[in-house]
Amino acid sequence: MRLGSVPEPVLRAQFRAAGVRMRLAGLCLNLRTDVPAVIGQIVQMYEDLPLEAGVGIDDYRLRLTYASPLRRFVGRRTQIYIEGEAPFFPTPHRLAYLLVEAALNWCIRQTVSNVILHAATVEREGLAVILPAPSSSGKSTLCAALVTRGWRLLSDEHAVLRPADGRLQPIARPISLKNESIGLIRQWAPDGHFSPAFSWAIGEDIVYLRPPADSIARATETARPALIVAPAYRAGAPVTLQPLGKSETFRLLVDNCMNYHTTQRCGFDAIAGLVDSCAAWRLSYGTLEQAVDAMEALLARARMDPMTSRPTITTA
Amino acid sequence: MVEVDTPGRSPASPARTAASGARGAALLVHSMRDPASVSRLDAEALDVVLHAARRHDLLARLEHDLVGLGVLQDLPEAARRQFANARVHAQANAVTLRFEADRVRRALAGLGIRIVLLKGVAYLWAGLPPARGRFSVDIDILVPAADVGRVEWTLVNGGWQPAEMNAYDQHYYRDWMHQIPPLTHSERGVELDVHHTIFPPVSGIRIASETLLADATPVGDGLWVLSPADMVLHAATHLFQENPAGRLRDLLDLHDLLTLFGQQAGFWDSLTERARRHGLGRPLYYSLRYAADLTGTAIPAAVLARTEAAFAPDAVQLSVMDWLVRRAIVARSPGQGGGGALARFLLFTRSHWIKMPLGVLLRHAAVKLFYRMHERNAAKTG
Repeated sequence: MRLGSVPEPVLRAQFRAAGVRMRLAGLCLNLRTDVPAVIGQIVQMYEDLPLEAGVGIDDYRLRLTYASPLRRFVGRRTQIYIEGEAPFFPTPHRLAYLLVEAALNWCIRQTVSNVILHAATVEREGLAVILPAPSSSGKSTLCAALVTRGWRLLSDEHAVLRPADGRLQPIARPISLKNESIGLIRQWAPDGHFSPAFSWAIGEDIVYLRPPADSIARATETARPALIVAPAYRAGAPVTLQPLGKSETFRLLVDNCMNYHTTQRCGFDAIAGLVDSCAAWRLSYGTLEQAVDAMEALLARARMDPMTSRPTITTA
Repeated sequence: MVEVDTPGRSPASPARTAASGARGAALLVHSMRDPASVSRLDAEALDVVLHAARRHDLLARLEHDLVGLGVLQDLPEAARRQFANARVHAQANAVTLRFEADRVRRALAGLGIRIVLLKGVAYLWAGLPPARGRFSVDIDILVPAADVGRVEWTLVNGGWQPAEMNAYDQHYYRDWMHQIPPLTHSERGVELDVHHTIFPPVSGIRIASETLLADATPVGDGLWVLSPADMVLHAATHLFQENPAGRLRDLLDLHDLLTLFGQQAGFWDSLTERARRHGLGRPLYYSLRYAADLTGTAIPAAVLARTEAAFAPDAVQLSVMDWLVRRAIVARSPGQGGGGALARFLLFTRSHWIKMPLGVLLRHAAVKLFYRMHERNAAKTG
């Protein structure tokens, strides 16, 4: 059953009582909340999300509520509990949705039976591309640009690599856009479903873009990684593609691995496997059009001949 | 005697989470005592056990036992996923602890003193049953009281840093406690607690490090662990002289140690004798009582009777303690009802009462309050 297909009063009652059991990233996450405003925002952003019925085994239990009984009425602040612990600071009521997103990220990162990279991941024609980059490097923006031009969204934030088969587990959650990228993507994809803007500091806005319905419908379909592209945006810069050598690629992936120390040997093997099976490039770009064209060219090359698509140059 | 609510009550679905506190506690204790029973639970009860176990850091231990019994593969995929996750966390923790203990050993090798590992890292290094799936964040060691200065100096030169603390906290550790202020490795961030005895001397209980060190057991690579009796007494002290609220894991440590060492000839006699000598009879008595009652530890009736006669408090105090421990030891998070919050508060107060004489305790509480208000004012104005 899709979240959006449950009648709203039923859904609200379920959020208050036993919780809504959302299927995300191969996990079952149970979210309870008594904050009415946030329910509408969740429905808006997660309309197509598949739900688990009834009761069963939840991977994580989340509860979004007011920071104290007083905070329900005065200076309203909300808090999210994951398994009874509160890992984040209480947040003003109007930003409660950000707590939900942060908690979902937290749960995904705690799942150390997968190797998790800080990367956007997209897929087309059966080939997945990993875009590893630290926060605020523009990877979510590029990811949003690609998925609104026919690519499948796996995740704008995490590459979830399954050590058993080396495939990527899709997450298909709303894409978070910050500050300048908000206007950029609104222009790029005027038909997109955007959340209201959440202003969490002066001049610091976040807007979420709902993923394409097709990406959500195929969220249980894992993907084979074929390309690694390290994106670097610089306003007005010309587009350049620079091949990355194996050791450089390994270093790049380890630096962006969120649980490399916890996954130990398994994390090393999974990343080494990626380096051996994927072509790797550094992509610098000044406009989204350039970047999307470059990505399509790389994909075409990888599809034609996966072996020669690997760069042979080893010096930077 | 103490009893735990029998599991099996099925709460109505809307009130599921509210009821899962008390029910979860009972189901968890039952599952830890008899891991094979986990494979017979329905999905809803299994969910309750998994979440209670996670809150008590017991998922990885349960996983280890289920693998040992060969029943893990019979569980639903969603349960196995959680167990697999807990296993990865626990394995990584064990690697870190071993590595950190080895760094400490290398740093202190030149001093020619006995380095005794304590608690989690000791169980791990000595290959003892409580180590399975156990999660620890600190490294704890015991060194001769006379050598503490040299040890601290060597560690600080070797990359461990003392925490920044005010003069009062320094005085608290240096003059009253059984350990020096905690050290943290400047690059790896792991905390190292250096002890010179196993209970704060300010309490009046003074256990000379020499007696502990003299009986210690070598575990290879120049490292040592406490003798079986002292190891049990240290775990007992840790649990019942401090606040036992929410510490089922530590009671299970005791269960494992008593079960293992109880098979050794002369263990029970040396245990009661050492407890008398150290002045730790009362925590030993509580350990045996609650391990027998809550975790079903096999303790000879004669030993129970002997420790009861020698170390038990009066009947009123004992029934209060029964009430407190039974409510608090399995409770982990707030909102679990049943007097849990009151029990936790009383146990917290009790732990300070035992640790410090009344005069010292009042002064300590006043100074702590003063510093807290001072810090709050500083935060407001600065």
